[in-house]
Amino acid sequence: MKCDHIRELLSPYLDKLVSTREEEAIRSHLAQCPACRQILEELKKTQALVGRLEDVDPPPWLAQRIMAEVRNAHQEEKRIGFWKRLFYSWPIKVPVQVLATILVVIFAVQVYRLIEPSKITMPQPMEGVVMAPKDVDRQAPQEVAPPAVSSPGGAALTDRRSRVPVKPQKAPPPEQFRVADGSAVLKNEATSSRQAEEARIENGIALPSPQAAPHLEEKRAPAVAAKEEAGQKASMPAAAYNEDRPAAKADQGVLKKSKALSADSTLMGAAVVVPVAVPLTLRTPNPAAAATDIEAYLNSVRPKSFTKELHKDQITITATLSSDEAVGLIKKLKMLGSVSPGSYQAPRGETTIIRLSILQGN
Amino acid sequence: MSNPLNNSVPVTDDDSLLVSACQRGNVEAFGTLVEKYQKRILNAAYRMLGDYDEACEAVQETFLSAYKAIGKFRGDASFSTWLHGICLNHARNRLKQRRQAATHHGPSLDDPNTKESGSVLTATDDPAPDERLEKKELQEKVQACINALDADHREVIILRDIQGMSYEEIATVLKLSEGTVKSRLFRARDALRVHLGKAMGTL
Repeated sequence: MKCDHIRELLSPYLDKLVSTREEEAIRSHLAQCPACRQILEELKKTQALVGRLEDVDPPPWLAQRIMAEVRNAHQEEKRIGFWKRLFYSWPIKVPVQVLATILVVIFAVQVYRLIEPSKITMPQPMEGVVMAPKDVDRQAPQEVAPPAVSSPGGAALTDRRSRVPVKPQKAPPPEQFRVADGSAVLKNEATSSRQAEEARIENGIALPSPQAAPHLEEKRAPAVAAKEEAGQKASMPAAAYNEDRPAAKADQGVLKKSKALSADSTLMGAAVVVPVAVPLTLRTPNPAAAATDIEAYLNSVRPKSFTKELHKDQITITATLSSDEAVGLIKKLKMLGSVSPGSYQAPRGETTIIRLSILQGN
Repeated sequence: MSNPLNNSVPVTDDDSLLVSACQRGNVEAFGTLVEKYQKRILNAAYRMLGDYDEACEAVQETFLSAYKAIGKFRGDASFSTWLHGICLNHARNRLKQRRQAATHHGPSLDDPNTKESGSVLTATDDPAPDERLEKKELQEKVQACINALDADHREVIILRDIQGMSYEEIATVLKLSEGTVKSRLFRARDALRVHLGKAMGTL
């Protein structure tokens, strides 16, 4: 065998890890090769020198320091493990940051939803009052609308919007109404507020308007003077809750209500001018069908406001219309039955509040 | 031919009990393992790195890494073998960093024939009269020659000729085949032989 080959085998030979055949070959080669013998000797000495290297001892603090680090790591693992188990056992794998953001958003939305309804819990006078208690779903939204005196535009429209599409830009910000745009606005607001108050008192109705009350207190003083039609108000709310309300009284109530409504529409329409209120009566064999018809017609016209109330013997529809629209409505009514008054005169271009009572009859 | 293996520690089944305890969260069981293996691991690290302080740091790192990874220890190999593997990883990294740093600085610790490595002596230096001193100097010479080897060669020599591991164990630690261990060991021993020859005049 050649020296190179033998030399390679010398290392395992030292470890006694060569086969018998290899061992034989090595021995016989070594017998004849001084160079390889030399190398074997040097390898042996190398191994011996390395083997004789003395151990070093660890410093006394080494184990303690190691264990201190290990215990820290253990605590760290426990801490992280707790949070991991908390979050990662969820079926949805959501990174913590994303989760935190989502929670913040949900929280914010909840807070917003809590706050927002307060904007629409202001008293709106007579509308809420005149409702027959039975007609819950139709009137529930309306009941919410009435209290919103201070910001009726937004809220009332918001609620009514659910029943009649109303142009969104008709809702001016509430601030407009808190600031005295014109004394008329304030007065009207106060009027309707006062009416609402009295209605509540008279009838023991718990209208939701906690915020309105203190607000109304302030406005009441300046508006007291403007109030003396108020004398008749008492009868109206009472009448409202009597289910057989005679038309005459209705008219009276209508008058008041119109005033309230005019205040209302003033606030809604952001116009200082008080719109004219017009009471109408329609006698028709089928009030319900007529009411539906009228409602449909008014839907197409898209009035500034619209309400419909069902009472025992009449249906009342209130809508804010332009004078043209009002004329159109009266024409329609004439097709459905007999209308009184028979004609409508209002200054052109002005907004009108129509208060229509539909009665059974011919 | 004798091979004094002054570093061997019998691997017993106690290790697997301790390891299981650790895996179940018993930190103090790991302490027992530290006490048992710290010297052995320190010596491996010391022979690899040639510096006592650095070796101590490497040992701390080794045990900490081992603790953090204890969950992954399967028991295919012995704990000792596994621990050596971790230790050599850390040592290799340090050597790499050292080499990278050395390109910016002067000659490294690893050159046995320069005065930078401190106590390296050549055959021409006067030998000290005291036997103990002679022994110490000899040891330093040998270590210096080991330092001169490639990291790969260092590893196999330390595991075989200092730690006394079998070719099989070495193969497990270094993740090599036994054939590779065999040939690498030959080259390592041969290289060391040459270095020692230069350093000592004659062997």
